[in-house]
Amino acid sequence: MPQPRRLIAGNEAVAEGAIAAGARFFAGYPITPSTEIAEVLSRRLPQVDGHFVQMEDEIASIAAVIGASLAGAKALTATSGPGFSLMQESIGYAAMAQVPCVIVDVMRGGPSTGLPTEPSQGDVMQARWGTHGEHSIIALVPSSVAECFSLTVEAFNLSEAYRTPVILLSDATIGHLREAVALPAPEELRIAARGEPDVPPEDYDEVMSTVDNIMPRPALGSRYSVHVTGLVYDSSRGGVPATGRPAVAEGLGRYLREKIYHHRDAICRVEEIEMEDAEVAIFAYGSVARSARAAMKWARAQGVKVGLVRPITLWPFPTEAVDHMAEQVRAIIVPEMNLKQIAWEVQAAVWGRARVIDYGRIDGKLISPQEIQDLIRREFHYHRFEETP
Amino acid sequence: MTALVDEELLERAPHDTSLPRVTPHRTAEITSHLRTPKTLWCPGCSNGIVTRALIDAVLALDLDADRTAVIAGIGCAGRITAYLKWSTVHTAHGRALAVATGAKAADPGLNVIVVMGDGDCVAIGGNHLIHAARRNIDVTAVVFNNSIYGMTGGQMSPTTFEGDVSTTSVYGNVEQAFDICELARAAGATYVARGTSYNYQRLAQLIAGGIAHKGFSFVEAMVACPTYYGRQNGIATPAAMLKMQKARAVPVERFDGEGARLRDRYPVGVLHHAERAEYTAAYADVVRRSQEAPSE
Amino acid sequence: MQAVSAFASLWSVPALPSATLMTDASTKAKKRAPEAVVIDLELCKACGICIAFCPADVFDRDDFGRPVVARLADCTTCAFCERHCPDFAIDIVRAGERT
Repeated sequence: MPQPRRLIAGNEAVAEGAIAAGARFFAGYPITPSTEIAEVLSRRLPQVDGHFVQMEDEIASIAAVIGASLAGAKALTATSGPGFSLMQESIGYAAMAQVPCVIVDVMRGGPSTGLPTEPSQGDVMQARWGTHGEHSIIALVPSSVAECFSLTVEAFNLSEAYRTPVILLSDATIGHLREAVALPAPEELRIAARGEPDVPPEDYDEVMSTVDNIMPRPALGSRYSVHVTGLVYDSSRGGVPATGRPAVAEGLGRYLREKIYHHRDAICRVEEIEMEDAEVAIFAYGSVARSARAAMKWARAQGVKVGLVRPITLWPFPTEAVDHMAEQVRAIIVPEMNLKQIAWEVQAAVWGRARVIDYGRIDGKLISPQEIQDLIRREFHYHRFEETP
Repeated sequence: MTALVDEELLERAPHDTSLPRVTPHRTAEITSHLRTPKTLWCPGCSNGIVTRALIDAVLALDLDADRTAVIAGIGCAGRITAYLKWSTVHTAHGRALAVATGAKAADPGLNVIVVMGDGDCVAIGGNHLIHAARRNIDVTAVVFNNSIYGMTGGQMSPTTFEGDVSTTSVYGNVEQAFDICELARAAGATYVARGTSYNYQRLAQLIAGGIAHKGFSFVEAMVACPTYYGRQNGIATPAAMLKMQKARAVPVERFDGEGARLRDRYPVGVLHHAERAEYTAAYADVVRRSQEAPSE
Repeated sequence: MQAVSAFASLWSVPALPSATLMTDASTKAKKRAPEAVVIDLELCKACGICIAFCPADVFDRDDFGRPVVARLADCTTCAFCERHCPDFAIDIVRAGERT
């Protein structure tokens, strides 16, 4: 049944996406430019028998999200750079202890207090490595209000399926952008349920998950007795600490990585536009992808064969899509609102098969289509390009 | 299962500080609630005593083990999570009360007990303590206060006394110790109690009273750390540390507040007990009102 | 739940082991020596608390500092040792119970 289109901002779409995904707990702390997510959820969650709490700081927020998730609720928090930095320890805890949750980072100029009201893409590498220790993470990047909704739903589904924290990397532009969107009806959405283990409580301590059978953890307060810890643990003994056993530590670490990377084909999504005959590609994500798409369309109108590869999943890095792109094109333009954070990853995956042209802007302003057009012009040495109006 | 608390009794005497009766159990019964009785705690560490008191308190209240979760921070006390058989969560350092807030808010019917050391609770976790107390959320915090950071080898904590020697105060600590019961009370806790490992029966009752109380309950258990606090401050044996607890603990109704507080004399018993709106109950009313309001 | 004990009355006696304050079951039984005081030497860490506090001097100490039940007949089953053993190493088999 077609839904009515409504003008909705990115942050509000994230909140509605969370509700649609079954989220019933939010804990957060006000921080520009994410605060609207908290405000909308403070109003919406009690309406659906959920719980909203404004915690005393971001550290408490992510901890409360973990507690709620352990108690059986789908839970999320939303923040920006400074709060995201504060949350890192517990994001690592969630990764280690395998606690499903969603963390929305609406990126702003940094570092430190930076540019509170201006966009950046400065946290993309922090999303991968912000917490200490060898760990894996899933991060999605919306580039439209519609994706703010749909990727939030997907984030929850991925967090449940892979028992991992998932980061949604929005930015100040996308968060405050208003677009007319017809949000999907509930029945159109695939929603992953948490489920229960397929063994009875008395056998639970003895069962190990495998990468192909990632067993959900029962909730606190269920008939299962669970033990959750951030120490290295031995899942076959009910998750009690096993710090004195190197083989267990290695096994757990590799399992936590393979749990996600074994499934990267399913997890890594990119959008490819006009890549079939492309000679040059633009690899852009988030709000920059909007400008990249406009620049690409302009180039095509000049008869220049440029395509766009837009990662929707940033972590695990979509190596296969980049690999494919590197085989085909001679140059890849990577515009980002940071200084080469993802361009380095592209360069590594490209492995010298194409030139990687990075372009960074960190003044809190969007990279415009004109700037990307200039990069295309230079690449093609094409002085007969029409000037853009 | 029986109710968490004798509702009828509380109704009859809502401000009575009478505590639930605790009949200590045999060791075999106590250890049936442990994954293993072989703990990593030092010889003479009171953590095992307080663990036993906690189990006795839970048994006395006949709590449904399936609906009970113990959430603990990092430190020697936090290791209780590996020993108790009930559902347990071993959180990041200092964050147990924030995790507990989320768990209780998501499932208000869960019996939530939070175990922390003194450093975990009032140093790194201090902010979460004052806000959990402010919210008056119905969890029971049991703080194993040994005035030291034991797990990391004997550093000072915010409850180490002036002049005490620790590995990070080798010339003697120059900082005042918190009275953490006062801190909890001032922040809004509605049940505040202090007990000692020495007076086992009383401690178990105070913990039971805290669990039974609907609101934020804070129980400070004075604990001996012979290996680090004792050795660095000239106390020879675990028994001597327990004897010091016996000498210093003064029943609250007899405590005149004079003399050096906390170090040489401190009040024990129920120090504060009040009733005010509990957080999850108040939020249930928010849910009800939000669904009555006309939609946007 | 049984009737709670009034707070004040528990502090009107000297701080003796709490067995004297328990009113369930027969008080006389508490003054009888138990069948056995069992020390689990695998769990005992020789902290010395039980030996130091036993009001009836039931224990001797072995070469490792662990308690040895030397005078069981003097034991009043106050259970201070059982409750204050941090390692769950003491189990008292009460009078009339089977070991």
